[in-house]
Amino acid sequence: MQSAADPRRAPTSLLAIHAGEISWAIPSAAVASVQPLSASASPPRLDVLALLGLRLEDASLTPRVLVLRLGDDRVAVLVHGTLALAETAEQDLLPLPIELAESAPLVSHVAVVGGRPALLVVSPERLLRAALAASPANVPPIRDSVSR
Amino acid sequence: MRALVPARIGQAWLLLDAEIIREILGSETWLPIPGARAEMPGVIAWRGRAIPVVDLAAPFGFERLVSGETRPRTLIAAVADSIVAVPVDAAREVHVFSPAELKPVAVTHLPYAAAETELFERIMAVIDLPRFVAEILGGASPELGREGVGSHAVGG
Repeated sequence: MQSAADPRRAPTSLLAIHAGEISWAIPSAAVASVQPLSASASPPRLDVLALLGLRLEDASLTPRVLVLRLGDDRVAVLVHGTLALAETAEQDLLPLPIELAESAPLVSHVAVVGGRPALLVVSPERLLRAALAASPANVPPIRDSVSR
Repeated sequence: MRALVPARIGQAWLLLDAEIIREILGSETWLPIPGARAEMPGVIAWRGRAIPVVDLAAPFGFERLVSGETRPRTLIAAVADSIVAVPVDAAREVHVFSPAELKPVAVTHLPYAAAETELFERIMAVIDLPRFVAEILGGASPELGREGVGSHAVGG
């Protein structure tokens, strides 16, 4: 039995991406913007599903450009599927067991929805590092020149 | 004396040490983890934490868990430093066996069988779950393939 939620703990806002049978999410605080692929002048070559080690089988899923922001770094990645915001209580964000850390290095947590594990939560920091490592020349980080 | 839990996966009955079984639950929804191996394909939520799923069907050559599929019972087992979930098709009450009743493996041919005994008019293998999990984590057991959660085509 789980303890009652501490009302002092603010929920975490997640941007969930539903790509067919796969649903994954990223803390929305790390998302600078979401753009249609058609609006992107230089479409990113990095697909998050590919970075997760998955293949996109359904080409009808809507592609979008997700711009991640971490400190002064920004990187754009390609995502497919429907997007939704989800508020998740802290006790519903479960760390990925260490036994599976090597299998899914970009995944830091699992989000429980309706009492069931439902979303792979991707670490923005790890995704940024992976995106830069995968294509440092093609996807350079965009450093903010204007601080907010 | 040794207390063992009979459990069934597919048509095969096997026995697991009752000492390591912390809880027996009903059907539990599990989440596939991309890149995970077939023997440990995902996680369930248990008591406020995510714990790995261990699919005993994988080494035994039975029908493995696929995404979206559950089994009617879930054994929660403490194995070394890990707590794991073992989905099974059925589980029965604990039976206690004397050392004389546990014989060397001769009839059953399941991997990780440490002994055999008779129960329910069947010869059942006593499965060394800790050794199996240790080998998964150590990378020693045969690679049966990564969990293929990416190879599916569904409507968007």
